[in-house]
Amino acid sequence: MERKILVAEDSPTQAEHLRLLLEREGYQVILAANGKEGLEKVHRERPDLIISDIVMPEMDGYEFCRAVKSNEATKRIPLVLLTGSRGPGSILRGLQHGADNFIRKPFESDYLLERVRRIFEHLDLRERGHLEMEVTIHVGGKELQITTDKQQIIELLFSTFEDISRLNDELKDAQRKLESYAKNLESMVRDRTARLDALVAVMQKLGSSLDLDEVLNFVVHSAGELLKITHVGAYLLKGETLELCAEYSESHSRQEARKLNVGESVGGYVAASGEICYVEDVLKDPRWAAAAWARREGIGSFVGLPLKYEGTTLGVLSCAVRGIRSFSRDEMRLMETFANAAANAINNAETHSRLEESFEELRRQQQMIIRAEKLSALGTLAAGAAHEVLNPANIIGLYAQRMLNRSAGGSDERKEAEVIWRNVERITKICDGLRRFSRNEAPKTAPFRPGEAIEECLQLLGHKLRLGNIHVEKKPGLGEAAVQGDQNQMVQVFLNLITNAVDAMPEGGTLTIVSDMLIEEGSRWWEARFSDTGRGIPKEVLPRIFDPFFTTKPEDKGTGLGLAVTHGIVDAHGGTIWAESPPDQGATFIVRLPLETA
Amino acid sequence: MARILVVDDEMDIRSFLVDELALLRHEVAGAANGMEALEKVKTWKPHLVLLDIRMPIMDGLAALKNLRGEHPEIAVIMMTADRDEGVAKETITAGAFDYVTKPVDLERLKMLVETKLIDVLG
Ligand SMILES: Nc1ncnc2c1ncn2[C@@H]1O[C@H](COP(=O)(O)OP(=O)(O)O)[C@@H](O)[C@H]1O
Repeated sequence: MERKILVAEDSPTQAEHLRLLLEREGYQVILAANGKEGLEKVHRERPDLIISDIVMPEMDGYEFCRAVKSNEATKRIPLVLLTGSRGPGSILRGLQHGADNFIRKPFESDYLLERVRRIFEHLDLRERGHLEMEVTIHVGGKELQITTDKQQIIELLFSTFEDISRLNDELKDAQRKLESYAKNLESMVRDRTARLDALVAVMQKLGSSLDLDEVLNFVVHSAGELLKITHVGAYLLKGETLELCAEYSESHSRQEARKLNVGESVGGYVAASGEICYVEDVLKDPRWAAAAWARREGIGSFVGLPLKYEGTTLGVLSCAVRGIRSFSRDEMRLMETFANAAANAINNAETHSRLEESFEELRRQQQMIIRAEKLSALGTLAAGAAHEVLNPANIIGLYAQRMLNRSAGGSDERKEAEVIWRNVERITKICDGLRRFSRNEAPKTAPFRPGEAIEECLQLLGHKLRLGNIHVEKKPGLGEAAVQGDQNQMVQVFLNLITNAVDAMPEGGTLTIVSDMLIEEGSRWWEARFSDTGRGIPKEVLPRIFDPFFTTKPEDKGTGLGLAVTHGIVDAHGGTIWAESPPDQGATFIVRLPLETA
Repeated sequence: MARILVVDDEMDIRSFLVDELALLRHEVAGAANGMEALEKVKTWKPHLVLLDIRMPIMDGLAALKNLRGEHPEIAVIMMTADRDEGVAKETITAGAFDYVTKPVDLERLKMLVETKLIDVLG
């Protein structure tokens, strides 16, 4: 027997939807657009079940319900209200108006059909005279007479409350999620911004500073603060050793290992392998060397990152944290960025210092060239002047000699003539020196041992050295090396250097002569360093000492030509000479002569 | 008694040496450059010439070469302010075996003059 269902629903699409649903289940469906139309059709068609929406024009669901239920002819037709709003209000009101059942919108098709089926089952039972109950319940202080079975009511109310509490929970949950998401978002944004700022700062530092210490310090501090790492250390690889060059410590305590060998501990392992290494708990890692320190500082996890530039490992960034901690992908990436920054800085600094070295070397060479040019120009001038001076000096000398011959021994005239003669000789000496240093001719060349030349000078000056209380040290002995050149001239070079050293140590002292052989720029050199413990050469004087006539000695002692001549001779031998005078350490003169290339 | 010609462009030197050598009882004359010296040699025939190297008009080396060619019998002592070996070598190849350096050591010069004259005069 086909059941007839009346659906009162003002929305045509929903009405259609319900009709399709119910018809597919084999029910006959009558549609009504509102309560009024529904009431007419109830009377006309006598449906077995009424399903009604609540909100409808002309006559709403409640009125429709009351009208059906207050009519003796129709009051036994079960009526289901489709309640839209949440909460028990509409259900209670529906009950007051005599509704038998409720289905909440939006509904699942299956749920609706199940309800409908149950209602028809109940209907069957009732028709067989089983169930007929009136229940009185109190809701909100009102007493209600309800004409439906208890079980369903309770079921209904429970489902309603369940629904509500479930909805409530869902809502709370959603809100919590939303809040935490917002908070997360905020802190994520804050984190990102801070990291970005730090990176930008690191990059700027890198761009603007070539000072390695500064950059490394900056890197370890940024990494430590940003990633909350307890100890960050930047180690630089020097040969086979890692040296701690910058460190950050949250607790201001110091990193345990200031030096590590490659392969030693986890840091050394990273340097050897060139791979990032994460250790969850250092105390459980057999490679870890600083167990005492880790225990004291509570260090658990560790990340070591190689500082690599173009595939070469230049050092290690070590990150040790208190307790056990894992690092997210983002954090690892950030650490790598810091490591890259550090590696770049190291490479930059190295390139820079290499540049500076070659610049320094260039400057030294340039200075030598300038000096040589200056000297040769001066030399030409000086040689001419010397010649001009010699003639009148010669004349004065001749007359002085005549006076000497004619005056009696011990007389005032004789003494005066002697003074004149002595000074003529001095003039001659100056002129000789001038001409010697300006002489452009190549030295007489024969192989000789500069070591021997030095030995000869020491012998010549033996008396002077003893008198001046000068101790001479030769290291490592003066050697057998031979160079090409003029031994006599070279003797003069060494005489000048040694005499100057003696002059610089009026209270006595030590003259150390170290000779050695070395290879530079592909050539082999003999080198001697004359170091004294004398007064040294002030920085502002140092560039001038090779200039002719430059002297700091009293009139009658210095001519200022010694070093000029010396320089000329060394130059003519294809060698170089320069002086160094670190503060408070006396002076060192370095002579280099080219060795014969065998 | 020997005749000595002193050749130097510096008048003070010239007259000084003329005086000093005259004291040794020689006949001494002076010339201011190589050209003057060669003129004088022709007429006066000195036994010994003291020859400065650097002089205007004709320098000592040129005069020396001429003397060696024309008057090989005349002894020559060079005077030079150049102490380097190059000049010394050149004078020796030009035929002068003796030279004194300036400032002239008077005693040495006198000794040299006497020994030279003994060579020339026999
Ligand atoms: N060993 C030295 N220690 C200190 N000063 C030195 C030394 N050698 C040279 N000098 C300085 O260099 C100057 C120039 O030296 P030099 O050319 O030999 O001339 P002079 O010795 O006649 O002064 C000296 O006056 C002195 O000031």
